[in-house]
Amino acid sequence: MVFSSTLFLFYFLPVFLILYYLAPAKFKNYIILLASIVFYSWGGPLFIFVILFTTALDFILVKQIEKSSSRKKKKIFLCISLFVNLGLLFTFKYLYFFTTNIDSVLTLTGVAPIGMDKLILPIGLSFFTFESLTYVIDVYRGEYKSLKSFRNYLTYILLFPKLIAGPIIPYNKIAHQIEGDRKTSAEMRLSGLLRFIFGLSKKVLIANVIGETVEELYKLELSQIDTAIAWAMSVGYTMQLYFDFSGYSDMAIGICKMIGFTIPENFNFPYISKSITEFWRRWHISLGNWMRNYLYIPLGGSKGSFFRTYFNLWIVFIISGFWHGAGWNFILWGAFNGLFLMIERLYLSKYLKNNLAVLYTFFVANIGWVLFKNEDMNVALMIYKKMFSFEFNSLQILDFRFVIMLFFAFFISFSGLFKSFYSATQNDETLFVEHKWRLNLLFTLSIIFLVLSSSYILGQDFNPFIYFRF
Amino acid sequence: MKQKKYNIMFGFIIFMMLFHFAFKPLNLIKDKELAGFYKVPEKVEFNSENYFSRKFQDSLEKSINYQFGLFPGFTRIHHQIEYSIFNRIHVKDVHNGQNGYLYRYCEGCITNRTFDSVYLDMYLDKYLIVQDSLKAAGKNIVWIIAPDKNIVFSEFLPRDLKHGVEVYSFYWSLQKAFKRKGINYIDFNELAFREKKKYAFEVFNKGGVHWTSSYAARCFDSVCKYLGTKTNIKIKNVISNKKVEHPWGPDVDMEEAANLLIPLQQDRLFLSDMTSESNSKNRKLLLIGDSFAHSWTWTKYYANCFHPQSEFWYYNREANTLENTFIRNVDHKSARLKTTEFDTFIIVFNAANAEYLDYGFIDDLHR
Repeated sequence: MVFSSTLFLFYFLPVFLILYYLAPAKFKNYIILLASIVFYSWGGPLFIFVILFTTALDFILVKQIEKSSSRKKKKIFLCISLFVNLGLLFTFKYLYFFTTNIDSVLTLTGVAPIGMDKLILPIGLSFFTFESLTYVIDVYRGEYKSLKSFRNYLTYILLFPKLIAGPIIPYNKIAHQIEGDRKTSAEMRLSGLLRFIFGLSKKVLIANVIGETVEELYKLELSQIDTAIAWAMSVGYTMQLYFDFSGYSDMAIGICKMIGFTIPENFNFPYISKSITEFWRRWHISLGNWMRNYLYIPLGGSKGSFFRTYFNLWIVFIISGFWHGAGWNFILWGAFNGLFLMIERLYLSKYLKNNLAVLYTFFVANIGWVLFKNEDMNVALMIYKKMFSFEFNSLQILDFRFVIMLFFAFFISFSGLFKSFYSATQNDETLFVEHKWRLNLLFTLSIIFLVLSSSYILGQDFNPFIYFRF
Repeated sequence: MKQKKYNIMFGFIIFMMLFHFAFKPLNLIKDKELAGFYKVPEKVEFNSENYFSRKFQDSLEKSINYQFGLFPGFTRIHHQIEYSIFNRIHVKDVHNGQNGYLYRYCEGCITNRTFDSVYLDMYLDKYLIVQDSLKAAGKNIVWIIAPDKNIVFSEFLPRDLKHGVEVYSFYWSLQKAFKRKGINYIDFNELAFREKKKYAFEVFNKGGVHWTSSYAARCFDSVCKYLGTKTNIKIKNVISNKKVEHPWGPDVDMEEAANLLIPLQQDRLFLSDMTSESNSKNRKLLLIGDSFAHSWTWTKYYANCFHPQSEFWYYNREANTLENTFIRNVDHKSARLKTTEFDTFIIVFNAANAEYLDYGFIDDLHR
């Protein structure tokens, strides 16, 4: 069940909200938990048992970590938890990748391959594994206390708005809210709903519309396309990915707000960044934070030698790439971004001060997304070749709808360059206190967008969520 | 006060999200169903096996869209936006031309494929044998090339489909072959070109595939006159061409299937009225043809121009009366014997299906 489906939008969400608001305060978490179990088991009816098992195990292990007085015991319980969580992630997500690669080598050496069928990836596995780890590690480090109630811990892991595509919420950011310390107000409910509708529109009206044409272009004979089409494919995907994922994050944040949760932002106009370093502070912020706090810093961060620091940076980006998918393209994409980060850190950053740097960042990110999109490296290489061959001979005429929506996508993506617009989007509270007309305008727009999004959900079949497969 | 306003705003949107229940299943409001063919996915039975394999969930999610109360309304909004802003029409095989004209069967009509010339000559030689035999028996046969919108209104074709006349390859080569072989035919494309601005009614409606009822009647009138002069037998009570301001059943099938909120602005909609009398002295017609010939029978008016036992063989497959009532399937083995009962034969095709010639009728006669 995706957020942009009829079932979710017109049945699940309104019914859930009504039940939630009608329920007495002490039962609200039960409603959330029940809705989350229904939501997850709808898409992964078997995997719900896996997630329930690991969650229960983590809860017990964390209690043991907290109870244990010796450092050694704490470490053992931590290792068991890491082994189970990462083992599960490895089995479902990476085992097939490693097996096929080993098989390739074995075949070359004349040895019989191992052979294995691809396993179905439980939805959201990468996201809830990382969240579970934050809980275990935070308690192990002694930074936070464990949750008293298993129900509350289960609610943290299963909280359906963020369960399958993030944002990745560290335990310490949400624990107190789950335990009841969350404010609900009419402002919050309304701003959450508006945020949800704007996210839905970004996903349905922009990402889906652009994505449909991108997929059509990818069906063309790649040897026949010219430079203009190759760029349309790559830039189209760059925008599709951003509006798809940020739209989803907006919807998740919006739903959470409607039920009183404040969760971290995941995007902040990434395409207006003046460097790749800045880009990664603005794109999938929750993953970046996780990588910094739970991988980069434990590896030594920038406190070690010159080479160690750069090694740490690069390895974090390679792992980050690999987190997105079990494929060489994702590893290369991570390495590609890590490389630019190092180059910028070494000497490029001093040149990246003016607005031209925005073009540089967009260009590099766009080149990177070609790798990200294409698991088949031959396809990626062919597109690169066409992008830089400067041949303009194709008879393919770009769809007018694609061009218009791409224009809108650019306009919205770069609107953060205007200071007044940027500051207006940084704090939802300004919606209600600064300008009355702004709320009325957004309310009217949200109604129009809801009708338009609904008509596009029902009127066309193309409705994938790119980040669901991660 | 502010809180109240926010709550009202919030409640209003939630109410909007639940409004579909008023349509279905509560049936408090009725919406116009969508036209065209929508295959509603079958819902899989709810049981543990289907649930854990996700078959139930998948089928429910797919089918729920079609049973959703606001499905027709939202689909129309989507289609109208796509059409009005982005010039896209959501009907299979339909192309959106300029000035509001819609086109179908473009791929069959505008093509670089054509007949094998040896095959075509052989086929038409067989046809000539039939034509001469019928003529000797005082009977008559004629080919009718119904007008094709892709040809007659080629000026409004989408830009990517606009080409020279030579691309109508099947039509063009068949017409040339008819002339070369001396075969009787009437080409209503030529007539339509000459007459398309002559009448108050349109040859084609903007949103239709077929000729308008008025133009079909105009052409039928012309066929009857032709048959009368050729056979020296008067066909009694030929259609009179009275025009009415308010058409009955205008041909806007593509537009209907497009499910737009606002119908296309049709230029001139008329319907010809006609009076005639069917009697046993009239010619016994065998009409073989496609949906263009169908336009002559579904109004039922034309039946009176011919003998009551005249028949319409739809695509040479289904035998119907001229009032469009199904009689039987065509028996190809006994077609030769059966055709001796008729004394006038009309074969109707158009440029888009020209490659199928007479749908195998002449081959049946040579069995």
